[in-house]
Amino acid sequence: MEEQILILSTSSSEIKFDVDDFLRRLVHEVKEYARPPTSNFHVGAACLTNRGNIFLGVNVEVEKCALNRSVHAEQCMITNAMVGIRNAELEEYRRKEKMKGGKKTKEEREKERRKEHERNNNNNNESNEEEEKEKIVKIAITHAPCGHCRQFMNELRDAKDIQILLPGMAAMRLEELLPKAFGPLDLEVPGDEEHREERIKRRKSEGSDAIVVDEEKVHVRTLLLDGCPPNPRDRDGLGTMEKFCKLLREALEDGRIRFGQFSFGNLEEEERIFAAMEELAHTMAHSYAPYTDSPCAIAIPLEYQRSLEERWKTGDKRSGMRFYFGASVECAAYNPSMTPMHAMQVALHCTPFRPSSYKKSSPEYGHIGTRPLFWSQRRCPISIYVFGFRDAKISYAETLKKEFEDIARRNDTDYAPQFIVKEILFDRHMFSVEDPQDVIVREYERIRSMFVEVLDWYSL
Amino acid sequence: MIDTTKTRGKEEEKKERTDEDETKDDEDEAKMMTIKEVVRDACEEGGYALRRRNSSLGVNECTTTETTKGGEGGRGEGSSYGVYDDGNDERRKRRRRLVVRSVVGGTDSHPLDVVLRNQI
Repeated sequence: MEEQILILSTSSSEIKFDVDDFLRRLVHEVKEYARPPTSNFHVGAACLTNRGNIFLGVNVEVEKCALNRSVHAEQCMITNAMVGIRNAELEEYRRKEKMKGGKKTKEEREKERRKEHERNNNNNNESNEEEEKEKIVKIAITHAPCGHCRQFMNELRDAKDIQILLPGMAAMRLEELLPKAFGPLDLEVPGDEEHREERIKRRKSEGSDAIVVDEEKVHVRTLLLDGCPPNPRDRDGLGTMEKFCKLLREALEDGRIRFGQFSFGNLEEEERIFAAMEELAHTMAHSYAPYTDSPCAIAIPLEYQRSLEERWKTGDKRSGMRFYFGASVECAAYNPSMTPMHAMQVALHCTPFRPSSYKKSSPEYGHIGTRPLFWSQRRCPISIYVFGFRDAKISYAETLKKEFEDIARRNDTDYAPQFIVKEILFDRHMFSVEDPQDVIVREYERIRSMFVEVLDWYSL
Repeated sequence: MIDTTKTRGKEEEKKERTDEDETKDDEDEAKMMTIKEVVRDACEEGGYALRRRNSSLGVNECTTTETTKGGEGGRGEGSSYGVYDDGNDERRKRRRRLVVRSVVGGTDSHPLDVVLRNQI
């Protein structure tokens, strides 16, 4: 087994750690950042990926709310890893786009698109050629994971081989913690009809009730971004959202979308809308909903206090505004799944932009668990932007509004903001054909008009 | 007659052991202090992530250690996407840069720079 050492160095010193030891120590510090107003039970988790990134997680409960509103540390950690890896992919994409450089004509793009299409067709069944994607290899937790979390972690890529590090115990594989597991391969994956007969045949021949799937032949998405950017088979239509981002960017570059074209000329505002729209589509493309076929992503805008330096630079003393994003993450066993609302809880708890008094080191640390998740002090309704597919089996829009209002009301007795849901639905394969009619420009205009109000409220 | 050499030997051993223990304790304390700092930065300013700098760009591009410009949460990548102005300038200043290098298989093959990233 290869030795793994991690070196932490500052300008004055250098400390070597055994990786396992580092992770075990890390989680004991991380747990102090948990938000458990109900249980008062602090849990910390950390995972190491094959590319050397470390993501952290804590349990996030919401005061006075039912226990199914709580997010476990392992779920929080996996959500953070998803966001981190998703952002890394975005970075890579932007870098490549930048390297290609220069504006291209529509014809040049057409050519490129055709080439790419051919390349994709040729590579459809050759996924092995892809470079190894990022995956979690070690998870450290302060306490033994509950059954719910063991099941949830079983969705991860190469789950059975993940090493679990628990206090006072030697490292063990997830397979040892969850023997004879029910997992993604036991379910008939929606859209995989072509292998149904084969599975039934094998099931009968083995005299078993379990649905047997030939892993080599069936491409089953696993948590942590399999299939995105577009899965060649794109069962759940997530390639649509990737394509949406791409077309949007292209339309902006070749001038079909121009900031200021549709509004009263506030370019900064248009830019923000465009970016939020793109990010939300990207978040949806990376949501994980293979079991219900209902990928969904949400965004909410909240204010943050500008730093002194930023105020000085911009001359703007008012608070700024940021969008926060959350996406659905499902589990083969259904119940341990996370709704976009759960993911939003993680986003709001873990963002560095929450007010400083919410952080551990602040004098108000004693109140960390009772600080409201929604810190907006504006006396205006908060919009929740929901991206989803028209034909999805689950619609989150209505439940989201109730959940948000419920949490906000219990959170802060002085001020409970109202929420307005703006649901933006797409056809599943709407961008799979070429776009001669400038559908993307119409879509942009449709979505933009739903975003405008919020920026008016925040008067940026 | 009392054999003083034996007693001295034991005393010396004891002293050595105490010294060793003390060194270990010091090391342990230093480790804990460093970890505390890493966690504080990650959880308060880094979006709960210790992220290898430019990990998506490949190991060879991760060699910068003392960089103070931009940071991933700042104007750098955020603004290239045009989304966020962030309020992190002050935090960036007081942040002590920590370098994490992971040595796999005994070779210094993965120099890592922990850039505490504002990811959400």
